Amino acid sequence: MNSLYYFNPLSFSQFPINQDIANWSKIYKLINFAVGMNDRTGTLKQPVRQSIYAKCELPALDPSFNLSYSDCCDKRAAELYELSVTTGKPLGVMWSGGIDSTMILVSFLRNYSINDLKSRVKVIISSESKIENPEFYKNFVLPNFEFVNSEHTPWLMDGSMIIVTGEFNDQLFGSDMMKTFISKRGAHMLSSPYNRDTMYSYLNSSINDPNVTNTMINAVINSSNVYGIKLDKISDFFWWYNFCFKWQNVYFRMYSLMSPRNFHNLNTEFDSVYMQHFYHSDYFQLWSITHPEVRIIMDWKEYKMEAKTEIYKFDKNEEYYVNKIKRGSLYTVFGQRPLLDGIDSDFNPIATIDPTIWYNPDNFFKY
Amino acid sequence: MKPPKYLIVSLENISILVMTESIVIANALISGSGDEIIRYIDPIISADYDIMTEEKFNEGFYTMDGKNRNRLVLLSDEYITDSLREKKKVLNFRKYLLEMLESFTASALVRQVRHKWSEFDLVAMEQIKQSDPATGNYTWMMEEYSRIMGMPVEHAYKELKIRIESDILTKFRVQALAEKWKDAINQTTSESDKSTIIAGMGRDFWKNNTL
Repeated sequence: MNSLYYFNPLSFSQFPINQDIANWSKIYKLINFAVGMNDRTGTLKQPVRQSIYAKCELPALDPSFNLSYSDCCDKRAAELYELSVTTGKPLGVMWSGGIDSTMILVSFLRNYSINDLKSRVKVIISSESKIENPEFYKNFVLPNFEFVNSEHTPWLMDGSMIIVTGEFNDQLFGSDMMKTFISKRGAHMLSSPYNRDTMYSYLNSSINDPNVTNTMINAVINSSNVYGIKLDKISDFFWWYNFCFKWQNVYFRMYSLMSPRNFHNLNTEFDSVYMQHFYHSDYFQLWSITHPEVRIIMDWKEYKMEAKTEIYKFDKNEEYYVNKIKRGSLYTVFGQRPLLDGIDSDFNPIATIDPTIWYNPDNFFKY
Repeated sequence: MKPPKYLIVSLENISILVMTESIVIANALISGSGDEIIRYIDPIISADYDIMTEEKFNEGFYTMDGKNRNRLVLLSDEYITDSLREKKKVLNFRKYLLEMLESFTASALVRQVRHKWSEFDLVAMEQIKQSDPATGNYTWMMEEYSRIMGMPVEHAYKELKIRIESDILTKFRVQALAEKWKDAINQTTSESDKSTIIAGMGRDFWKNNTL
C-alpha cells in the first residue's frame, strides 16, 4: 500500500472526517496551514498515511564532522557546478534577494569566474527580488546573468535546466517560529534552558487543547531522543521541529507547483538531477546539528548571521549585513496558483486528496 | 459626482432584488441567471438615489416609476411570489460571497498596482516584443526609457520585461481564480453552501500560500 510523501494538510483539516483528524488539525493553528508534518524519525503517528523518502532520511550522526558553514556552501556549489558540466544543463538559481538565495549566488561567485558562470547560471527572478536586495541586484545579478521569470516556475521543471532553490537554510538555522516566540516571550526566553512548562504554555496558547499540545511536545522530545540528540534550549525545540518534522514537506513543495504537462518528470531520476535544493545535503545537516549556538539570537536581525557574514565578506554591503531580516519570499512563486494536494510514495501527483483514502487510524490523536 | 449604484432587477415583474455599488459584482450576479438585468443609477437618473440603500431593498420589494424620475415605488403584494422571495434571498447571499471574492481579488493584486496609467503595462509589453536583445535592436521608446532610468538599454529591457511579465501573469492568474469562484458562487442556491465556498476561496487565495 503506498503512502504520502507530500500532502497539504488543508485537504484534511478544512473539513475533518473524524475526531482524531479534527484534533490533529489544531496543530495547524500553531504552524502554517499548508505545511504537512513528516516525522523523519517515524516516532509520531499521524492520522495521515505517510512515509519518509530515502533522500529525506536523517543523516547518521558523525562526531568527527568539522566542516564550517562556509565550507559546506563551497562544497555544494562545486557539486552543482560539476552536475551542470556533466549534464550539459544550465543551473537555474531561484534568487529572491533574500539571505538563502543570495548566499547561493555568493557561493558560486566567489569560486568561479563571471565568464564561467554566465554560460552556466541563469537567475530565476521575480520583480520583488530587486526590492529585497537592490545593491546585489545592481552589482552582480543584473549585469551578469540571464533572467528567467519566476512566474514560469511550474513550466521550468521540464529538464531544460537544473533548478537550484534556497530551500532548507531555514531548517539549518532554526525556525520562523522563533521570530514569533521572540516577539511574544522575548529573546532571553528563546535562549533559556528547555522547560516543558514554558513550551506547554506557549504552544497551548495557539493550539488550545491540552491533549494535542502534549502530543506535540512529546513528539518533538521523543523524536530527538530516538535520533540521539538533546534539546538543551527553547531555541533547540523550535529548530528540531523544523529540522525533523518539516524537512520532507520542504523537499517536495516545489513539485506541488509543477505544470501537468511536466508530470512525466515527477520521478526519482528527474529528482536526482533537475531539482537541487542548495542546502539539502548530509553535511549541511550535520553542520546544523553540531552548531546549536547559531540558534541563540537576541534579535531577529541576528538570524542566519553565519550566512549574512559570508555574504558581507563578498559584497561588503553593510546595510544588508546589519539590517536584513529573514522574510518569506515563496509567496511570490506560490501565490494564487493551482497546487498539487499531494505526492505519493510512487511519485504520483495527486490533484485532490480524498482524506478517506489516506486516513491512518493508527495514530496518536485519539483521546 | 456621487458614485453610481447598480440595481439587479427581475425581468419577471421589474422589481428590484439587490443593490450593489460594484459593477463587477453586478455583472457577476446577472451572469448567474438570465432573468435579471442591471439598472445603472446615479442622482441624475433617479430622484431617489440617496435613499437607495441595501437596507431599503431588504425592507421590501420595490420597483421604479419611470415617469417620475425613477422614484421608488413599493411593489404590490400580489406581484410578490415565493419564487421571487427565494430569488432575492439567493442573490443576497451570492452578493455577500461575491463581495468577499472581490475583496480577495483586490487584495491579491495590491502589489501589481504600480501606476495610475493603466495602459502602461500593455504599451511596455509592446515595446518589449518589438525589441530584440539577441541582435541589440531596441525600440526608440525603450532606448529613451533606459536613458531616463540611467542604465544601459539591455539592463532596462531585462528589468522591465520581468516586471511587466510578472504583473500581467499575476493579473491573468488572479482573474482566472475570480472567474472560477464567480461561477462556483453562481451555482449556490442554499445558504448552507456558504461555508464550503468561503473555505475554498480562502484556501485558493491565501491558505495554500502559507508555507
